[in-house]
Amino acid sequence: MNPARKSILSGTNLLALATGLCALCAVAPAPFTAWVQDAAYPVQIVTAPVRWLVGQVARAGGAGTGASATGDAPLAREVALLTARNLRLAAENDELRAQVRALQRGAELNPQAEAMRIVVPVIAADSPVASGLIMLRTGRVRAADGSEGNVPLGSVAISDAVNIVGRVVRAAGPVADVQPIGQAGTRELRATIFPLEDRADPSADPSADPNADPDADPSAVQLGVVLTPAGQGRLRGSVYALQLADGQFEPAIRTGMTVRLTDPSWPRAAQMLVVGTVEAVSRADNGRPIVTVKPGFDPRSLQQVTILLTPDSTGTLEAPLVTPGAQR
Amino acid sequence: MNWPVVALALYLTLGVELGSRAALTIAGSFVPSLLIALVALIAAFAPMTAALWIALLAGALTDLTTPVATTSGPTIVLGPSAVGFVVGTYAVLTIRGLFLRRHATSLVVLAVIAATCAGLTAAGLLAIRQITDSGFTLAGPQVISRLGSALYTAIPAALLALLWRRAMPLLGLNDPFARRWDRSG
Repeated sequence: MNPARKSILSGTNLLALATGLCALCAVAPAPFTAWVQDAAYPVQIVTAPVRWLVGQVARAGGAGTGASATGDAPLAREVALLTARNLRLAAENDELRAQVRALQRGAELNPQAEAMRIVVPVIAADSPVASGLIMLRTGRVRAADGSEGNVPLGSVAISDAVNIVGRVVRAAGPVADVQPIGQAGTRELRATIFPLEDRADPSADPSADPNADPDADPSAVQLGVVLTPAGQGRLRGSVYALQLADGQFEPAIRTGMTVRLTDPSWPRAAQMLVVGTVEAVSRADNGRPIVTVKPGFDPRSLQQVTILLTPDSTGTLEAPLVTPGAQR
Repeated sequence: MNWPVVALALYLTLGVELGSRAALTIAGSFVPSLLIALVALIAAFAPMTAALWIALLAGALTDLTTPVATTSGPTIVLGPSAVGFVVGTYAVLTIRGLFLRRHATSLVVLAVIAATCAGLTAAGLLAIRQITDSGFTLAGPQVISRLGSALYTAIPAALLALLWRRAMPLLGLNDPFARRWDRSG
């Protein structure tokens, strides 16, 4: 081989060339590096098994941290086991009751909410520091006409039947990525607080608000809010009156109130699903309430989510937003 | 260098890092990098060119599996970690002679140095990308989180360093100190 040619093809030169190309890819504008998005999927699919396995272990470890040791005596152990079982069943019962109430409430507020639902396992959730994406093992989705394809972009992922997790932002082959609401970089989200909703709940404590009207329609008072990511997975936004019944004033916002999605850029089937609960309330300089909303899911403990496959999933990601004034 | 074993170690480490990332995140923005710790430990003993190739490969894999959070959504950017890992590894290769590499603490310090160099390089490249690409805006601060993550990397690096003496023969790496002892014996 020619000595000059050999020197050009040496390992060091190739390494320098490869590093230089990587540096170029890092700073090149998006149109020149669009192919990278496709190149990433094979790597993500290949690493998915280990990722899933480690994610399961991490979740199991997190769930086990609260376990307490039982006594040595068999009887005491039996009592502890039965007590734990009883508590778990009671918690499941409460959770199911809450889900039924939330589903009934959501269906009542959005009677057109019809969508095909598929339950898919979570492979792993990325760190909120990076992208925060939640990778799902979706497989191929069969459409009504029999054709198979990826999960439509923009499909909504929910957990516990009512809590919105996020939207599918990438899908290829058997996997799809969901961008959780509250993650930095997500678009603003339009939602509504129903201050009287909790009062309509028969199990709620009626003494919580002495001014509560037992006959009030919970949907009569609505407070709109435009939420943007606020870090730590939370959402924050300024509240404006959306709809007030005659003779009613803007009610006080309390922590724990339910926030539901009313964003026209999201699929119809997702409207009125739960964005989260009000975690904190503060006041802006102009006196408007600012709420911090905590989503109703924890990405680190998600094991499976439900994807709403709706005809209007595709293409709605870029739908124009309605300004607050337009909804008044 | 036992390349199949090194490739397997990179694959498993990448999978563990991706799977445990959410659980290991602390203070909302600090997450350790197991892969840079492994690359730094390999660089402490491997030949220069081989160590740099491994770093480039590991960095590229990190880039392809870790989208960057931007205001327009998560974006895969090939390059920041790849170049960062190479720079971090080069730093380890340059200063490894100054350290007692058989000592676990030295390996931890080398891993933190590599992670710091890699993080700052990646942050710098992403900052340049914001200038060259008008549609690319990072969703959060980079330097502080990457520096904190580099320090946090000390913990997985310490665990790796404790296992390192047993792992070295599997990876086909030579310990120059062990050879010296063998000769004197």
